[in-house]
Amino acid sequence: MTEIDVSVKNLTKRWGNFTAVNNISFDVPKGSFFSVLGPSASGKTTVLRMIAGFETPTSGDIFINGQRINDVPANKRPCNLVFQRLALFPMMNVIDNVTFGLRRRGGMSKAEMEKKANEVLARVDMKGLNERKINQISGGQQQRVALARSLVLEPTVLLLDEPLSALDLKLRQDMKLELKRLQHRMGTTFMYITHDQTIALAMSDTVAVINFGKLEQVAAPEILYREPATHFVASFVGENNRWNNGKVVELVDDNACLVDVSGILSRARMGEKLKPGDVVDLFIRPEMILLKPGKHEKGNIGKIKEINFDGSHSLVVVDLLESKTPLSINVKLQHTEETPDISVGDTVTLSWGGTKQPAANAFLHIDPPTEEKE
Amino acid sequence: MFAKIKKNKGLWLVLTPHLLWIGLLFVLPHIKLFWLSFVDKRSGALTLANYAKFFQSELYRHVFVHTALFAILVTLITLAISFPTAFIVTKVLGKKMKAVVLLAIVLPYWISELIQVFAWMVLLRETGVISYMLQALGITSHNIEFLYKDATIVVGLVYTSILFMIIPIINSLDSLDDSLIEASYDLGGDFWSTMREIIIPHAAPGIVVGSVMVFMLNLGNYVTVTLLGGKNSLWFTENIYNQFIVRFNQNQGAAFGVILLTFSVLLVWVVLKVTGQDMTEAM
Amino acid sequence: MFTAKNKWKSPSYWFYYSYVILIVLFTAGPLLITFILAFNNNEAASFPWQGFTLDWFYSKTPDRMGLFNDPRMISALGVSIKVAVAVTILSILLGVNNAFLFVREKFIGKEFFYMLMLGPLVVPGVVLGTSILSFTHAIANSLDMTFGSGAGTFFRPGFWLVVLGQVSFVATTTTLVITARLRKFDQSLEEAAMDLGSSRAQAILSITLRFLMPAIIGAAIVAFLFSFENFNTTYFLSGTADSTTIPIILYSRLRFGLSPEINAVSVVLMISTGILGLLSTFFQKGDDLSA
Ligand SMILES: Nc1ncnc2c1ncn2[C@@H]1O[C@H](COP(=O)(O)OP(=O)(O)O)[C@@H](O)[C@H]1O
Ligand SMILES: [Mg+2]
Repeated sequence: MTEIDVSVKNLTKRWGNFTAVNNISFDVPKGSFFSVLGPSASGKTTVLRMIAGFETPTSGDIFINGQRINDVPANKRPCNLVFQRLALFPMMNVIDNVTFGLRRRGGMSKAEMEKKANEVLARVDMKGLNERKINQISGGQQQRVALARSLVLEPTVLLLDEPLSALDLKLRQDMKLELKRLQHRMGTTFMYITHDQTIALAMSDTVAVINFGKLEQVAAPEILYREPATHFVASFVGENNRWNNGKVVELVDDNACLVDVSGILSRARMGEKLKPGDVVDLFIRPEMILLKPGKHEKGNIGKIKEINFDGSHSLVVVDLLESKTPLSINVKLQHTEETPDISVGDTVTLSWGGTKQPAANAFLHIDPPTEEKE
Repeated sequence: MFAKIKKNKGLWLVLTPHLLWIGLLFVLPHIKLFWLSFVDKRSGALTLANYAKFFQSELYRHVFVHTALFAILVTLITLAISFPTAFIVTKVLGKKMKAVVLLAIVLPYWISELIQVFAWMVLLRETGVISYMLQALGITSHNIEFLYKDATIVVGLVYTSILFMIIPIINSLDSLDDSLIEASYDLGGDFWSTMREIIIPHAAPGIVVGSVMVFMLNLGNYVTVTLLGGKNSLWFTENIYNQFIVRFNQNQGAAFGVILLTFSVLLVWVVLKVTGQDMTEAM
Repeated sequence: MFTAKNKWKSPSYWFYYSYVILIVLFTAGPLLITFILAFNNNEAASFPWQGFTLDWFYSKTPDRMGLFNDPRMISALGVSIKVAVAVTILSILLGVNNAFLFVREKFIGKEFFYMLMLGPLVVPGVVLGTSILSFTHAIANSLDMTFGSGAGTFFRPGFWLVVLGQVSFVATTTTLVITARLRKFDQSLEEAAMDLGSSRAQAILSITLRFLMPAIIGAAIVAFLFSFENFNTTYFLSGTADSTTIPIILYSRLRFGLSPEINAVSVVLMISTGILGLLSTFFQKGDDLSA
C-alpha cells in the first residue's frame, strides 16, 4: 500500500446555510502530484484553506502524516501554501522572503539559513537576484520565489492555489512543465488547485474533480478522461461532442450499451447503471472518431460543413446525413501520413465506438446542463 | 449583536479604545455642551433663555449674519483663486514645475496660522512693510493703517484657506485623463466649453469638498479675525470665547456654540445635498 | 492644446505662468519678508533695512530680547514639543487601532461609527474646545466633591487636558491616513506569514505594521504639526505655564504689538515645520505598495 500524506474525511464547510464544501473525502499519496479540479466557485480554495489552517471545517477531519491536525494552528502545520496571488512580502527582498519561514522557526544561524535558501533558489532557477525587491522581478520569477519560500521549509505537502493563473499563456505553459519537473526532482507531495483542466491533466498523478462543493471523481488523468464517473466529469474534462436525449436501445454487456440519437446508433460505455429505454446524454470524444473520405458501408455518412485549421488541434465539423433531425459532430483529425485530403462539402464516412476503446460515454440525461465547459 | 461580539474577542480589543476616544473626547462633551445650553447659569433650571438672548439681541444676530456672509464670501474668493491655480498645476505645468509650484504653495500651509497672520501684520500695519514701500515709492507721504478693516480680514482668511481649497481640487483634476480634454478639442470644443462640460464637472467633488472645508474653517476662525480685525472683527466665535473666558458664562457660551455648530452642519448638509456630493467619499 | 511644441509660443501659456507666479508670490511672499526681517537690525520689525543682525535670536539685553534667551518663549517651545509628542503617540496608537477596526472587523453600525469618527474634523475648533472644557470641568468638580479638593486636578485645564483635547481631532486624521493604507494591504500576506510559521501577533508586527510604516510615519509627522500649531482647541484647555504652547504665547504677544523676536520665532518654525512638512510629503510619496 502506498503511504498517504494528506487525508481528508467527510470534510464540510458551511457559511450560514450556504455549503461551500460538501462532505468530501480523498487521500493524497506521498510524493504524488495531486490536483483538485473544478469550475470557479466550486469550493477548491476553501478545501485548500482548510488544509492550510485558514478556515475551520464545519465538520470532518484532516490528517497529515496520519496525524489529525484540525486543532493545529496554521503556523504549526507541516504544510505550506503558495497563494493564488503569491502573497510575496513587498517590503522584503528575494532572500528575506525565502528565509522568512526559517527565521520564524529559529535554531539556525543566518549563514545556514541563507545557504539553505540559496540551494532552494538554485533549484527553482533563481540565482543571483537575492537582493532584488519583489516588484523588481518578473511574474515568472515571482512564481519561483513563492515556490522557494515554501519549499525551503521542506513541507510534507506543498499546497498550490492556481499560482499560474496570473501568468500569460506562454509563460504558463513553460511554468507548467517546470513545476512538474520540480515536483519530480524534489519528491515533495504537491496538492495543486486549478480550474484549468489542461493543466490538471498534464501535470497530475491523480485528479480530484469537484463541482458545487461535491466530489465528483478521484482518478488518474487517463481514467478521468476515458472513464468519467459522472455526467459532470464527462462534460467538464476534455473536449467532447454532446448529444442530448438519446435512448438506450439495448445493453451490449455489463459496461456498454447501444444508444439511439435521432436515428444514429452508437456503442457507448455506460457511465452509470442504465437499462433499455433510459433517456441519456451521449458524449463522444472528437479525436476518437475515424474519418474516411467517400461513402462506405460501415459507419455514418456525413458532409463536411467547415474545417477549422489549428495545427494539431484542427477540427472538422461534419453534418450527419442520415439522422432524423439535423445533427452535427466535431472530429479531430489525426495528423499522420494518411491524413485524408478533404475540403468543405466533401462526403465522408465516420465511425466511432469500436469495442476496444469506448469513444462514447452515456449518462442519464440532465437538463439543463450542470456546468458549461470553459 | 451582543452574542456575536462576545464570541469575538478581537473586536472588543479594537472597539474599546475607539469607543473611549470618540465617546469621552467627542460625543459626551458635545452632549454636555448641548445640555448646558438649556440650563440657567444661576438657578440650574432648564431654560430657553440662552437661546432667547441670541434671537432677541440685534447685536448678536448682526454678528452672526456678518460672520456667515463673510465666511461665504471668503469661500467664493478662495475658490475663484484656487481653481485656476489647481488647473494650471495639474494640466499645464510639466512634472518638475508642478512639484516645485506645489511645494511653494504647500509649505507655507504647514506653518502655524499664527505665523501666517503675523506675516500679514508685518505687511499691513501702520508702520508695516507696505506702508513703508508706498512712502518709499512716493505714492503717499504718511503711514497708512491697513489693519482692522473688513478687507484685511478677507485677505487674511483667503490666505489661510487657499490650500484647503487647492489640494482637493488638484486631487480631483489629477484623476481627469488628459485625453478627455484632447477629445473635447478634437470634437470641436473650445476652451470655455471644455471647461464647462468636461473639466468643471469632473472637478466638482474636489470643489465641493474644498468649499465645505474652507467655509467651516472660516466660520470657526478666531486667530486670524481677531488679530487682523481687532475690535471691529465682529466674528461670532469671539462671542463664544468671551462667554467662556471673560464672563465665565458657560451656559450662554454653550448656546452660542450649539448655534454655530448647527448652522455650519446644516449649511454643509444642504450644500452636499444640492450638489449631490458625498463628503465621506471625497475624504 | 498643451503639447510641448507649441507651449512656449502660445500667449495663454504666458498667462498661465504669470498667474502661477502671482499665486506663489501671494502664498510665499509674506513669509519670505517675515523671514528676512528676522535678520534686520531694526526694532520696528519693518523696513528700511538697517543691517544684518542675529540679535533677535541671541541678544541678552532686556530691550532687545533674543528668542533663545527669552525664558517664556523657550519654555513654551518645550511645552509645545512635549504636547506634540504625547499627542502624536496617542493619535498614532488610536489611528492604527481604528484602522484595524474599520478595515478588518465587521460589526453592526460600522458606517455610523465611521461617520462619527469624521465628526471631530467637521466641528469648529472653538466648539470642540469648549465642549471638552465644559465636560471635563463637570468631571473635575464632581471628583473634587466626592474625594476632596484636588482629586479632579487631572481634568482641570493643563498639560493633559491640552493633550486630550488635541487627540480628539488629530486621531481622526491619523485614522484616515492609516485606514487608507491598510485598505491597500493584501491580507493574504498576513496569512502567508502565518503559513510560514508566524503566530498571528508576529505576522501583524512583522508584515502588516511594516507595510503600514510609511503611512504611520507620515501620519505621525502630520499629527505632530497639527498639534504644534493648534490654537483654537488648546486656548480653552491650557492653564498655567506647563501648558502654554507656542501658539498661545504668540497670540498674547501679537495682541500687544510686534517685535522682531517674533520674526525670529517664525524663522525657527518655518525651518523646522518646513523640514517636517517635506518629510511627510516624502513619506506619502513612498506610500506605494513597494515601500
Ligand atoms: N469567507 C466566506 N464567506 C462566505 N462565502 C465564502 C467565503 N469564502 C468563499 N465563499 C464562497 O464559497 C464558494 C467557494 O469559494 P472558493 O473555495 O473560493 O471557490 P474556488 O476556489 O473553487 O473558486 C464561493 O461561492 C464563495 O463565494
Ligand atoms: Mg479559488
